[in-house]
Amino acid sequence: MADDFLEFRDVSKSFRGTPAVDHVSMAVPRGHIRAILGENGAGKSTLIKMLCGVYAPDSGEILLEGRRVNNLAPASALRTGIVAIYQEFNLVPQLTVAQNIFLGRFPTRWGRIDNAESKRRSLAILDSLGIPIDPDRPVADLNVAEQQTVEIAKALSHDLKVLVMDEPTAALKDAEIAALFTVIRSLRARGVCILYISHRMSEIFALADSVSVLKDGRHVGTRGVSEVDRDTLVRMMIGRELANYYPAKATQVGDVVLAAKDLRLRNTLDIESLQVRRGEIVGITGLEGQGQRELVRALCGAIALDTGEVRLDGNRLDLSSPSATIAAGVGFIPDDRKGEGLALVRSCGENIALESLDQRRRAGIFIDGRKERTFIGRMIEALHIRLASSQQPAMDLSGGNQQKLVLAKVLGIGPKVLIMAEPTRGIDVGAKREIYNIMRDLTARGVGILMTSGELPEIIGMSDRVLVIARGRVAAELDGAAATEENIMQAAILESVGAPA
Amino acid sequence: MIGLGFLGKAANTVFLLGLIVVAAVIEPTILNERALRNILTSANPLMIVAAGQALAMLTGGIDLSVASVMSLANVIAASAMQKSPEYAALIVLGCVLAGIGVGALNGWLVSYVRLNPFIITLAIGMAVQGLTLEIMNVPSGLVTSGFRLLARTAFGPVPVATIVIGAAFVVLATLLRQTPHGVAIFAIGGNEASARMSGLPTRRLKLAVYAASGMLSACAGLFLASRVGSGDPLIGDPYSMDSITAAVLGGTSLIGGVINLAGALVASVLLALINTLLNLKGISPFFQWIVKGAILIAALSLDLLRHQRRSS
Amino acid sequence: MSTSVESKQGWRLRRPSLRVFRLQFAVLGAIAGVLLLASIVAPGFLEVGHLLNVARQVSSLAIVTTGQVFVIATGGLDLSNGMVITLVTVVSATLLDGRDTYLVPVILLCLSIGVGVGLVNGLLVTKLRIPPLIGTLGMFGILRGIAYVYTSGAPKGAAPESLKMLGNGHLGIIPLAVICAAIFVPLGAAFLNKTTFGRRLFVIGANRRTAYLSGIRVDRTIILAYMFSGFSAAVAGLIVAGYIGVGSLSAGNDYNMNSIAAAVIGGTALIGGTGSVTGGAAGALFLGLVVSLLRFLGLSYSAQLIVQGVILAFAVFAQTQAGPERSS
Repeated sequence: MADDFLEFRDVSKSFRGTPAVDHVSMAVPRGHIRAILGENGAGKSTLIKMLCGVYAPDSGEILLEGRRVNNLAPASALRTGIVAIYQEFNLVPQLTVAQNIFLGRFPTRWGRIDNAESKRRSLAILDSLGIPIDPDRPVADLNVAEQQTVEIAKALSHDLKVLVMDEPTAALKDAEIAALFTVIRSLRARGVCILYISHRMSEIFALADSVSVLKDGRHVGTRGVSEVDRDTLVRMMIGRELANYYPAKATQVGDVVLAAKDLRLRNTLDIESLQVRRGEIVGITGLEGQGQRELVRALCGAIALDTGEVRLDGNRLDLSSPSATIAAGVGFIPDDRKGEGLALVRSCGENIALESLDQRRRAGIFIDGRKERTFIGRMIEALHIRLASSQQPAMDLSGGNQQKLVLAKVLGIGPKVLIMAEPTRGIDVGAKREIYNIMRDLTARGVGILMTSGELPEIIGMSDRVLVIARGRVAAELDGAAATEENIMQAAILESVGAPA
Repeated sequence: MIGLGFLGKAANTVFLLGLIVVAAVIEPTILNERALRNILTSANPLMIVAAGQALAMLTGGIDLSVASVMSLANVIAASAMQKSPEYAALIVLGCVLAGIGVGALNGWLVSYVRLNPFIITLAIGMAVQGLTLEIMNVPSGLVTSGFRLLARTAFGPVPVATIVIGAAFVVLATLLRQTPHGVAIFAIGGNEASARMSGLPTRRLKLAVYAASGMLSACAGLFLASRVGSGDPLIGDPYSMDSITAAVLGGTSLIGGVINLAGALVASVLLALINTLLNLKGISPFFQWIVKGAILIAALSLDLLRHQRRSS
Repeated sequence: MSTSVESKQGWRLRRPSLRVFRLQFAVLGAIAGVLLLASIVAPGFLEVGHLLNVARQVSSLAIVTTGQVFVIATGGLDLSNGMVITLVTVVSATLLDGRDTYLVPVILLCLSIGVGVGLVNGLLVTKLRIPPLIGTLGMFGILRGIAYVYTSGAPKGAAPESLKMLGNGHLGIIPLAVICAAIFVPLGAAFLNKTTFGRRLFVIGANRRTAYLSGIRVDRTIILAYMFSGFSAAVAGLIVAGYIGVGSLSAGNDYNMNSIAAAVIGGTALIGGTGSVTGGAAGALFLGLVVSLLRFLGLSYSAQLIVQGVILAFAVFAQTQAGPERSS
């Protein structure tokens, strides 16, 4: 073990008596990409936080190049070369790229910041990553992928030894993901040890050298990527066979419940016709940024279209605002559940009751408390939401349960059509499956579902019909056997902006 | 952009300057030497506190104790100088230190004890106002003749104090944008958690910012003592809200992370100009309040319409 | 973490969120503390008649604070309510001039003024997207100007008997103003906590985007909140008009900041998303008791201010000990 670069030795951490990390021992060599896989609550983030100095382990040691690093303050961890990049970026939007990279460690001349020097150094780092960004641009002006690059550049500006990345591709387009992988590989070539936390199996197989699986705070095992397949990993993660990962598809599909015509938004959408039938799941996919997001938001009334006519059950749907579409029976699950789907400081119960408040009224404006409690209880049970009390603030719940809160909220209106944007993004395998089952339950009851997803296996597994969107148009409609990854990607790439020939 | 030096959001400043030009066109009499001098002199205290307020806002906070710290410095100066005029310089120093002290107290409570700046500076301001009234109940006191020169010397239409203030602004802006600590303060306003993660001494810096605001309030109070010649325990009253008005009008954001010192300076002059203009035109001071309120609202809505900021 | 535990437990929806709950306890404790202190240092203070007097003076603040809580819950602020009070006193005094003849129309006019101001505030904040601090501050200035121009600097007239009864009169030993507050505040609390409107207000303050996507008509709800704040200020203004008997250009001076302070002491967070009307009223009572005790003890105005400031600072500090608040 002499050449083990990063080592966790019997590390444990408990919170209020419950072990979050339970005697984990793990070693990662230098110049290596290690994926870390596990359900939510498996201990990944606690382990990482101990590495980065946010927590101190209750017992055990963390060693980097043989030296103990388990009791460092976060700032010291940075200096030691351990950097973490989370989904919520650690950047100051009002400052420039260069200022962010060197925040707190500016090169100075006679007390003043040496702007030329910090710009030069920033450029050097960014060039070495192969990504051209002007160091003088304010970070607020950059898109998500560029901001992530700045975060990586920031990490590199330290003497980087270990880089932790937590779900780095969640908000990236495909081309950007490819660029990110190139960068990560170049880091590996430099000897950096990369810990890559992700739920996306395809990425893990594409990028990582090895995978460590955590379950219930324990290290289940580490395998080289070539030694395992997806099923094995899933089995390691949830400890049981996961046959029939996706529920059965629809056998009986009803008539058209949502019919959209001539949806046009300049430079973004140009859809002649789109339909959803009762009992079916229509999957919308394509390369990122081809209009899926706008389509979904237009249908729920959050974005105004230039032209477009949508009929719900034959009646013209008022698209002026979400309150109009909700009143008509269109439910919307946004892709950003924390930022757009929930009021995190309010209780779970309030969130669940939110969209259907008008259904449980007394004397016109008052809330019928008993009806509400019954309703909330019913939804919690039906969706198997795990919480300690409906009074808990929504922020307490895990990602999967939060998504169920949003679902419960929307289901309260008794929707005819459910529009779901990235329904299982950032959710662990077990919770994903529960949501899939819920979706099929709904379709069995006659609800029509329109979902967008960037995860091809999910689209293929869940959709009765797949619509591939490219450049705001429907590039292809595939169902049954025709809905393969290959066909989808072909249709997506062929028509998209900036697609490689 | 931060790197552009102290002009900051030039567009906003230009807009305000444009309003000044319009005013000059409407009433050319203000362009004479005496009127200009008066306008600048009356703008001076507001410029000083607007800078301090903008600093507090930069960190995402606010300072509602401005008025009372001004009054405190003002009455200490007037009453102390009356009793012991030979110690004038020491007294001035003492007042400035008092301002720093109150500011540091505010800073400690906001930064280390983590209390809400709005309420806590309000509370401290209240206490300081009480202290001020204890020292001096009604306007009285007398400053030394030497001290009085501070506010009254001028080079033609431009008071010396304005020049000093202008120079101080430039120094402050440079410090903010060109030094590591200055940029750190921006970071605090933009994303305090990140700033701390990057190892910046965020708590100390925030305290320093409030101390600076307190110091500036004291300076403004001293200036007024110099100009009026005596002390008045309520002299600072309008300045809490006016400093907020000038800072926001000048382009400093209430949420933090954005500051426009030049804008605050110009906005202060503009507000003083409007006062003078309305006085000249014989419009009652009562109408002036209406006009100032309307201008504040109008300027902000224009600003927003220009930026086309769409609602979430 | 199984769901069956949850369904067996039944629903504890009656229990308010822990932090607000603790804070309300804290305020009550603080009030008890003041009364205890008074019993030691100022024996006459606790006499029933005197306490009811204090309650009467606090009533108008409690009513204004109720409206302020609504606005703060949406993440906003109302700095114009003090001026609404001032305006109401001068308008009612001038128009009624000591007579009851046009009482009802004038009262309706005053209430409309409050609602109108609130409407304007709401529009400024929603349609023009001006930050509430600035927008209501601007309104404050404008209203002050209007009040001065309307009275030319010298308020005339007087409040009629009926309003004076409201401000000073009693029903038995209980002042009418207290009864007024005792009706208004619980109604406001019910309005905020038990109606769909109130629930939506909280969500808007907690996360505006979520509110919008969940079908809440955000702008309309916010405007209504400001209108209610203006309305409360107008109601309080009528009581104040009756109490002082004349129009006064300084009638509403302290109400801005005091209503915010009372709301915050009572557990309403300035970032929005939470709030308590009863807490606000308790906060108002606390502030009133403190001021009154200081006056009773013969402290000069300046000394009162010092003590008030220190106590307010402590009250805010005590809040941070009551439980974690989300970081802004």
